[in-house]
Amino acid sequence: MDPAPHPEDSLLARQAREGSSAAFGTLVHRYHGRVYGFLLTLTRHRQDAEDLTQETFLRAWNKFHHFDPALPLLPWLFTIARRQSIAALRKSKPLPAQLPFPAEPEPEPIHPAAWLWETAKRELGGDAYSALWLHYREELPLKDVAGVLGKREGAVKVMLHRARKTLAAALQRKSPPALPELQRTP
Amino acid sequence: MPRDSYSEIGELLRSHKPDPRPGPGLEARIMQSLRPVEPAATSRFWPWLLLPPAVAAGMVLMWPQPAPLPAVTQQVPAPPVAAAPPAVLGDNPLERESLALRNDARRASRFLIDCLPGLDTPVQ
Repeated sequence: MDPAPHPEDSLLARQAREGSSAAFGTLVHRYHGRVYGFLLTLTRHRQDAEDLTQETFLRAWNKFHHFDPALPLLPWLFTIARRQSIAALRKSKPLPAQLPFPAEPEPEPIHPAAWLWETAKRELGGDAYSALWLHYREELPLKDVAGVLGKREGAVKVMLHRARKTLAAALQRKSPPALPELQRTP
Repeated sequence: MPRDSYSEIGELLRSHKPDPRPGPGLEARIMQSLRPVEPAATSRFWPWLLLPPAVAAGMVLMWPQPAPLPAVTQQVPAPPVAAAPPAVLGDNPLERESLALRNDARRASRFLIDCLPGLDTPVQ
């Protein structure tokens, strides 16, 4: 999944806005995996994330006339996805504030960055993990992350700083031998 | 973004991005869920075109027929006209002829008036 937006997104968005389902299908093919990945950070449940991905694209199709094709598409899709997940959470039973990820039978990731992502998933709160995902995984600028999460840019910056601090502390505790350069981090 | 003491964490996170894959049928499911929306947009046009004439035709067919006019089976007899006083016939044949013609015309007009149902004003 390439994080950079495709140059022809704007053209496809224009065509989809005029009702071209073929153009919208191309956008679905291109972005459904990334919307799913973001929804997985919010719902922490694969089936729910898939259902909400479907609802997100359905909503986007119905509301495409509100979208400005000059703007990047992905933050708009992420914003819809987050709203859909909030609506779904409101409809469902009240859940605990801190949703634990289900224990997956996957083996311990070997790559230290993969371990770090797993740690972030386990130890960070929902908003912090989503912000981390949008900024470092999706390479969205802070302004767009703030827009998607409905927060101010300064708040997102603080949230990301705290998230990095938490992860650095987790790394210090673990002291993985594969990361000698990180042990020098103050 | 300015580098802070934990900026290596960011670099490390960027160095290996997770790539969660949805189920293989998700894309097809999304496209299928869009399909019912598309024909709905076009089919909304046809009811507006077809329904009004259909409703009008239904109203015409279902409209109660006007009650048939009762057939005239019996003519109400006209009130008896007072018989004209017997004319005194003179000897003049022209006068008799003129009287006979007047009587014929009166009878004919009376007959025509009687043939018109409900119209009982005498013809002048």
